[in-house]
Amino acid sequence: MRDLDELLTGGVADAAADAVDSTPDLAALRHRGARRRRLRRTALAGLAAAAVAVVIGLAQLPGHDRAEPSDPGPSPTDLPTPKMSADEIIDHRRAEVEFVVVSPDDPDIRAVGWWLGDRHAIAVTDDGFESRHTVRGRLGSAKPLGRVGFLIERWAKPPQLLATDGTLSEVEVDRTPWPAEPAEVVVGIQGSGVPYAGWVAVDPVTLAGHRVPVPEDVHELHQAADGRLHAIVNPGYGASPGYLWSDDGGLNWQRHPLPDQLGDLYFVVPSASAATLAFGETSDSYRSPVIDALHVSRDGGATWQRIEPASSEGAVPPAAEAYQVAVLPDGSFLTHSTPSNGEDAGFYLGEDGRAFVRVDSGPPFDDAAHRPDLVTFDVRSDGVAIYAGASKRLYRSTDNGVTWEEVQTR
Amino acid sequence: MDRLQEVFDASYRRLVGQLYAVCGNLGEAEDVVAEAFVRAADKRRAFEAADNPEAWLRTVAVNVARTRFRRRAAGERLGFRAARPEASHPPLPDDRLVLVAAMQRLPAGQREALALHYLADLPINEVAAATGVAVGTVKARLSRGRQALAALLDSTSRAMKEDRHA
Repeated sequence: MRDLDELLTGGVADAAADAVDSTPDLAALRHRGARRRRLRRTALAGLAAAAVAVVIGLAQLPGHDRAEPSDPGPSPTDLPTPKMSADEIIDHRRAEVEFVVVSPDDPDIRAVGWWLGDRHAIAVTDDGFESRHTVRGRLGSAKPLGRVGFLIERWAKPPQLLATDGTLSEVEVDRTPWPAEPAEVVVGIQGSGVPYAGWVAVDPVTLAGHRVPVPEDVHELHQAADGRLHAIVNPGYGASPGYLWSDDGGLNWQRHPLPDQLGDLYFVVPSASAATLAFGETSDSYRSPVIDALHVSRDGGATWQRIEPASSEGAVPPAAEAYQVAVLPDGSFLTHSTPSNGEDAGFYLGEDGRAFVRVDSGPPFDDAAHRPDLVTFDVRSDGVAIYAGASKRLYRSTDNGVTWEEVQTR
Repeated sequence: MDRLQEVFDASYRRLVGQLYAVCGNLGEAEDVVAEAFVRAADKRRAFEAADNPEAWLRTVAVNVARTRFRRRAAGERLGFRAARPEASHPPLPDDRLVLVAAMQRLPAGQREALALHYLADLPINEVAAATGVAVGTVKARLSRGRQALAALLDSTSRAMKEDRHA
């Protein structure tokens, strides 16, 4: 059996699209649609007639079914085409932000992934999009590399460096593993196993990479601003599930074991507090993956507290989104919650043993109808910047969601 | 040329390819995409108001596929075996066909997420839009689906090796 990732990127959909012998007759499909519309109207008219006839009598009913007015559609030139350039994709009015990465050294250095149908392009800037460079391709999972650019993870290959001048190059990787320095940036090599084939540390000055000693079967690895590595081995991977951390770039790892319960999923909670270790617990199900519990240690991993969601004091807010939670420098939690009723949606702040409190967000997130559809926590040692997208615009908050400023994305 | 015709010309085959990844059956993929266009003609205003008409059609097609799958599963539970359509596939290497077949054994949510993200190359937020769930849900389904798929493929691979040895 070939490698799973290679199989998953094997052009199955393209082959199927190419195998379509003939397209159906659109006129026939239209006819079926129009017939359904007529049938529905007839049924609705019948119901209305039955109700109205009681009051006004049949003689006063309208005598004919009016044609539905035709709304003018957008210009056909709005539709994406296969050979669109990166600029055409990014500037297309229907293009949407897929991914945002911001340099820890300067928020004006950022890369924004755009998608339009199945077309992807990246816009990169070092001056907050006063100027920009663009390239076709998918930003996907990427991490900033100082002021140099951004490292893009790839399947079964070393990461690519997207420089702020728009050039793409493959990072040369020494296959001998040694610990990552705090200034180096650690990224994954996806594939050749589930879920990562290995981890690479890249020096932002020399741009050289080397393998990092990370235990097998690590599902997720997060590098904190102080260089500490946090990792998760989820149940079902063969290895013992656990939350792992290393203070020496991967040379030595400490482990907090997790129950080997298939169906449970755990994730690193990025922490801006060196004294706080934290991870979250969720599960795979048809409902949205909300935080089932937060696990936190304030004593270097010696003892752990599990905070469960409930309506009582100290609870995680109901429907707090898994993967959208961070620890602030003072050790408290910042979460993003999207309950289905919409009324209590928003950002929440919480501490151990005390109720999480909803942040009173200003515009544009000051009403329930305006909810972000893309939320990223950018966790640094001095705080957390929240990037939230809504209506194709991107906003940033550096005060835990109270005030927001729009950020240019192209 | 009107908008529906434009989208049909530009997107029909691509949508069929993407839905094949979801359905695991080319004929069924063609059916559900055709049904999506019928619904676009039926709900003309909703379709024309859609910001991304291809995404609108994809969402409808995924929903149609899901409904068919559930009906068929319910029918099979009740003993109605005739509901499963005859499978047809594009010319793919055997390992890809094994992959597509293995994916049909996954829970629907995981299958849709894996198919649309990996096989149809859609970004995670577009998968979320097409399947009507949050981005985090898609991430969780991808994670869990990959685990399950790896196990399924391993067992399939072992079975094939045993068959060859036998």
